[in-house]
Amino acid sequence: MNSLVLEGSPKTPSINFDGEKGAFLIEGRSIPENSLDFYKPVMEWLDSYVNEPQEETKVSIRLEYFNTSSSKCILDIFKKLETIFKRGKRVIINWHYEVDDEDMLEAGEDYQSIVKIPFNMVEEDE
Amino acid sequence: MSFDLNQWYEEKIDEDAIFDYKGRIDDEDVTRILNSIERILKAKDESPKIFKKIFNVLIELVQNLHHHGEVPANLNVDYNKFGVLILRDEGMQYRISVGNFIKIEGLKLIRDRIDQINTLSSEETRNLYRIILNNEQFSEKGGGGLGMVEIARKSGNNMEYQFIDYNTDYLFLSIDVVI
Repeated sequence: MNSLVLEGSPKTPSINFDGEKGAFLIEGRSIPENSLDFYKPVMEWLDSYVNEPQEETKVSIRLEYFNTSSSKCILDIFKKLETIFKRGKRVIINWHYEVDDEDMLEAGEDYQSIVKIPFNMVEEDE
Repeated sequence: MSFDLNQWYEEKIDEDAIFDYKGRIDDEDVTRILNSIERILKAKDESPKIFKKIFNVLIELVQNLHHHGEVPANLNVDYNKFGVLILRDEGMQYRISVGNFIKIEGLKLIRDRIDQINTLSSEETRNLYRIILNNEQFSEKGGGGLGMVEIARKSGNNMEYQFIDYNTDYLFLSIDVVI
């Protein structure tokens, strides 16, 4: 399984999905006007990964900001990972938020309330 | 007496205004507006918590203008997304005012939506957010109706709005959000 690497921009996060290691990272800002366009290749890559996942998939989400246009796409990523999880593979989601950023912590809790995979809430110093 | 956009805009800009913009809201304008405001707030040394709240609300408001800011023909401009944004530092609070033209037939939908959200407690706002997030529907713009809920949730305050008659086809909608 190959990797998916997208460089970050002021409005889009950097994506580094290592298919061999099962290590996924989404980092930065996700505030594009049209998130569906940005996340389309991510979803397509994940569709392939779901068919041949690693025994363990470790996902780190380290977002500074994300807009509501991105929020449904992020949920779709989690739902694809949930498919792997339900088939008995290990999936770990580390949701990072800066100390005092209660809104970002709450955003992680919102996803946790919908997605069956357990989340680790990881507080970080600024 | 018809609505005078320039007069409305000028009246909003007093000594509390720390940023103002009136014009085209294309992708690159959204980026420029957000960059400018980020620079202004960083220079004011605002606390990271308040800064993030303001920035989150701004992202949604500016992108709303980008998606919904109509251009009545008599504006005589060569672009098709128009909006107004003013950020004011009122000492104890920040006030973001946005304005855009909407087609008259859009009035009821937007008014009902804001009125509904304004009646909700913070817990109810959070629950509504989760329900819409998980309803698997995308609008053609990708947002799926979460923007207004997010604005209310992040600001923790009701949105103040006004619909002003403009001409037979358009209204001017102004929304104030206090943080």
